[in-house]
Amino acid sequence: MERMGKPSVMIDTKPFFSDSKSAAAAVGLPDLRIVALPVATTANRPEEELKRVAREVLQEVIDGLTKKSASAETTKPEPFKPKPARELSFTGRDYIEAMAAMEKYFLANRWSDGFPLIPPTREAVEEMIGATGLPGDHIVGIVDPKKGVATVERIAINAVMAGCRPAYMPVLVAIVEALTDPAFDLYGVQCTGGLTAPLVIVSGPIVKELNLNFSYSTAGPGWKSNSTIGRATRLILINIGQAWPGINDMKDVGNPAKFGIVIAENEVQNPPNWPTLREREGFKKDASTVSVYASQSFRQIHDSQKYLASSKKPEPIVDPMIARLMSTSLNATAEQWGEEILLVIGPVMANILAGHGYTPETIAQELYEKGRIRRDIFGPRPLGAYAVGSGIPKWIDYLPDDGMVPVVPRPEDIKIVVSGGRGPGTGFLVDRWGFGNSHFVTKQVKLPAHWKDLLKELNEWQTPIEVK
Amino acid sequence: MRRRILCSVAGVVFLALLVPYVPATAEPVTLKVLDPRGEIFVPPVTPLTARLDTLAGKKVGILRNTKPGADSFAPYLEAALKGVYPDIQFRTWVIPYNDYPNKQKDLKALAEWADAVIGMMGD
Repeated sequence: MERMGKPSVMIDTKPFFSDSKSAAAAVGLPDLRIVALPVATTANRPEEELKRVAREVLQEVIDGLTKKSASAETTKPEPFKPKPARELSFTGRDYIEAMAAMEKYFLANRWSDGFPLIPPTREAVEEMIGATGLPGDHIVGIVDPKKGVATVERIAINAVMAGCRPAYMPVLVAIVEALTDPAFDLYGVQCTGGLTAPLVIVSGPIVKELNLNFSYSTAGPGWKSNSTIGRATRLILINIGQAWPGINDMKDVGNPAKFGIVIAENEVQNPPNWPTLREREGFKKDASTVSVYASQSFRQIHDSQKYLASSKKPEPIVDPMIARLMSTSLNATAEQWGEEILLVIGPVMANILAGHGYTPETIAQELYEKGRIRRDIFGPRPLGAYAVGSGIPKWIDYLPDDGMVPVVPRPEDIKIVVSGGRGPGTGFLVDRWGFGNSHFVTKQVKLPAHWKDLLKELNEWQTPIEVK
Repeated sequence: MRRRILCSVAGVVFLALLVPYVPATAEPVTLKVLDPRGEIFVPPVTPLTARLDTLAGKKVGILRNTKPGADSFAPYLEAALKGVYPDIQFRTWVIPYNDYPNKQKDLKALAEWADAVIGMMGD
């Protein structure tokens, strides 16, 4: 509005004040008048309290629209040239003490995830940069919310800190490309009060090459590649994007996935006639890809073998999927319509379904058709602005209250990946984050010319993967 | 007495012989690392537009982002402003954070109608 020539004041609550200031500065309006209401929320508060708050901020609102401010002059945009990272020195009686000094400093400055950090020395960082085939000042993306420039060098620094090996760098570069794609809405994911965090899925030959665990507990600890790539992703979001809880990351409780979750497609036990995730996302079979998804909670779908033994039909698998899908949407509101839903299924479940003639496409089609929710869950007619923003079609308004609405716009918005080991036949459905337009984004991993050489040293960094 | 002196001298000599074997204080170790933060891309700063002389008789657009906190507080702020400026006019635009096809058109319509804008955010 200021850019359209209209004096404006922004009203926000006190806890969100720093977030609003940060957001305004990031779009070139550091002087925007923001009035912080002296309460945590104004939703569902007593009338007397709202009247009192209105009286308390009244003069500030009037001043914001009528009093002059010493606003900065417009500066001409200059081409951005990344500068090399500055060097910091830490001294101790020995190496351990110097490392402790570094860690204390990083913690005090909010540059850490709280775990011990590997010192990002120039030599270690250069080795990481060399693994990409790209120059250190190459810009991979701009990381929200502070618009931190993710050069290959800054990605490499955080990769060293997380404990990555150089050969993981091409995957990290692809992850940053995916996270900073406008379709992912990283600003929303980083700053929302919704409990979301990116979940990364790796697909392709690189899964085996990097010893990424695609089998039992793929979403858990134990493998250097899964763990440190996930950790580096979080450090990049913290340090390059400069997101911090309570300042511009307003998640009330957070999400365990914020520690970094990287799962891998189990191509070894993928049903033979099922295309891989990357192929379904439009990439070639011999390519390697990363996909990012704004995950919320993980809901288990279980015991398909047991149910199947009694019925010999696939309904006992598909029905719980449908139930989870519907409860996911019941948990949400109309604001969360319009994005994708992720279904991670183990190889046992996948192969039982394949035996009954299912493919990922037909599973998605069946879930789309059967996993519908009642119109009245979306709220009163006409649809609210949430719905408009989420792209919910207007025809929903013409349905009766008990009319059924699909939980995603199209069957292909139900993303399915086979991952995990051969356990009792489980899988999980991952809730999506709403309020915003975060979409499932997939990018190809680009490998440097000396890729095979980089892999040699990984022979010493292997954890066995159990495939049964 | 003589014996005590001899013992002391022997002790001093013994300690002197040990000196070469006592390790010297180690040199402090300096660790040089790189700053992990991203360089901030600073967009050109837009100065604020000229303020109004008064809100009396002015049209104030209320821009709500659809969140319930904004919806519930707006009427009270409007009432408080109306108490000071009885002839102030309000009109509400509900424009969500999300992108949608007519967003720019709606923002433009708001700017065309209003003399000033109060943006309401909040959960």
